[in-house]
Amino acid sequence: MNQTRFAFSFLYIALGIAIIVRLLRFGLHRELFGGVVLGLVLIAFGGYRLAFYVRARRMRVES
Amino acid sequence: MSLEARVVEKRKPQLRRAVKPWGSFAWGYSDVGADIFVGLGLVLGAAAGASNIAFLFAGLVYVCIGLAYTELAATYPVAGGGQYFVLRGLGDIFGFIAGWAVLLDFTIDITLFAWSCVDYLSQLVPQLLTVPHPVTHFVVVLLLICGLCLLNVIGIRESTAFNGIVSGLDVVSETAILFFGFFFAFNPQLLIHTMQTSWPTTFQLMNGVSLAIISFVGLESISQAAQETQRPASIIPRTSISLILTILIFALSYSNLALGMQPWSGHGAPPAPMMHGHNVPLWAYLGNGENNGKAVAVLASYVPFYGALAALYVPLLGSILLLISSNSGVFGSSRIAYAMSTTQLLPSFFQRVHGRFRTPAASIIAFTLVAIVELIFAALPSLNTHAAMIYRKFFHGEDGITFLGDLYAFGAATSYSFVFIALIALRLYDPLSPRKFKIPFNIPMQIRGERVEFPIVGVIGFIGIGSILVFTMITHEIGRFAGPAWLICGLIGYLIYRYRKGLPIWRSQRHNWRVAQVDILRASGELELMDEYTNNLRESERRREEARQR
Repeated sequence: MNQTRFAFSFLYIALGIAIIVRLLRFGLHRELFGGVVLGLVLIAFGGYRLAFYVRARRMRVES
Repeated sequence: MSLEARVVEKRKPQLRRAVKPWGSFAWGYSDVGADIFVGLGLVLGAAAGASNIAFLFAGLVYVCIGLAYTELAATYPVAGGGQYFVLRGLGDIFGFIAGWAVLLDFTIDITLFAWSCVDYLSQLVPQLLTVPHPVTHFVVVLLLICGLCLLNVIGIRESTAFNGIVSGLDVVSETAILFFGFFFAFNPQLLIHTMQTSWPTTFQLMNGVSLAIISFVGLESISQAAQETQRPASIIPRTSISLILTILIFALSYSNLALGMQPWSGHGAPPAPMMHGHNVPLWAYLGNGENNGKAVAVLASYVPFYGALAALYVPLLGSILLLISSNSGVFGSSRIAYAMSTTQLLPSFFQRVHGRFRTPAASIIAFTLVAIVELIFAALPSLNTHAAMIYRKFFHGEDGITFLGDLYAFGAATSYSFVFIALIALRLYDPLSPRKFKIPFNIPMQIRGERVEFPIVGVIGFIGIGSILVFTMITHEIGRFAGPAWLICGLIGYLIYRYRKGLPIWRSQRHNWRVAQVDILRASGELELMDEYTNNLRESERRREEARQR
């Protein structure tokens, strides 16, 4: 189960980066602001889950 | 008698703490996750080309609400949620108003989600469609509501494991829709074009924002389940933050996809979106009266390749999630009324427990009846032409689901406004309770010799949700009348009840919150926090004693 969640975290980060890159390729338009925020939230969520996973793993190894 | 002795004396049977991190997430997700299934179509219909902005604004307010709930639920892990926080922070009368607004939301929750559940099923069973078959639609929704009422009286309830499976499937499904949609159909140029050509008026945008908040209602569930969660002060912040971000991602994704997605048109694709014989943009098709109740299922069917599969299961998955959410309305309203009754905010009638099934049957039946009345008001325009004319004349012809959405937004905005004030009040008046999660960005200050932290996010959130409440009052004809009428009727009933019982009418009863807090932390298994709290109390008393001697 943890592996699946780990994979999902990576997927969210990759998706966030892909969305931002795709939007910014069209230049800076204020209409794309919402999409860029979505990309950032995806990266933040993936990063949050990943950090949690790494911390939990480190604690397991230490104990 | 010492503090600890009084706490031991007050011990009562407790709820079993069996909810783990995923269970806590699933409890919240099965409630909040269903909201986007209802909210997307309504917001697209109202805010058109600015729907993503409406979701973004409401989403930012929701992040503030989520953080406030996370802090409060981790600090005071008891069932009762927003109503308990407001009671504790602002006193009895405000606790009643917040609880009464939450009760409005829960009763709307029952009707709105049962209604939407049938809408989603109609994607697979066309006989359930509202437009050609309004009577069948009404009868099926009514039967669902009565069935849920019966199940709750008997005591059967969806288990945490079932919630977990449905939530897990839905997260995977929505991620797949998001992935295929953004990679194969999303066109930023189309998004720019839609936003430039279909930008709404200010009035429409305000309407859209007020409806967008309904996509984020339901964080109460995590707080409601706090009393059954293992180590709630540690688990709730984790699950709440994941839930906040997950819901925000799905809301922003769907709204951006709807505005900038090129509908799938290859082999196996559904017919192109059409209205009155003309091709229309996808967002307009999703936001019209026929599709706004099942917008996510329709959108999913237009996602390239994956849409063929999604068209088969998304309506079913959506309807199950919506039914769970509707059930949480029946369960939540009865339990909140029960909790309010035990703190003498509501008459003891709501504490009546069924002799055989040991469930709060009186509360369940009372609030199900309220939900049925709301259903009748929502369904009237589709059932009766005279009623439709009256609605057209006085309420801008709002349809059933919009009527329910209006009241849902009103109830949520009202109760959340009070929760923000309670957050600020509790930070100032109860600085000694240990906060395992604290909202960032605070101003440190001293009040009555104690160091407190004033939450800036609380103020920002209050302004945000306050503005959504104002938007709701400005843009919703029915919400403007029915929402405040619900609060005023409840308040009159509360004042009469308190007067008859000889209880303080405007002031609060005496509560010993310190004993209550020790009891809460002990019961939740947060013994380190309990020790920290008792140490904080001792330290505080020592400091005061020193100050008096000086």
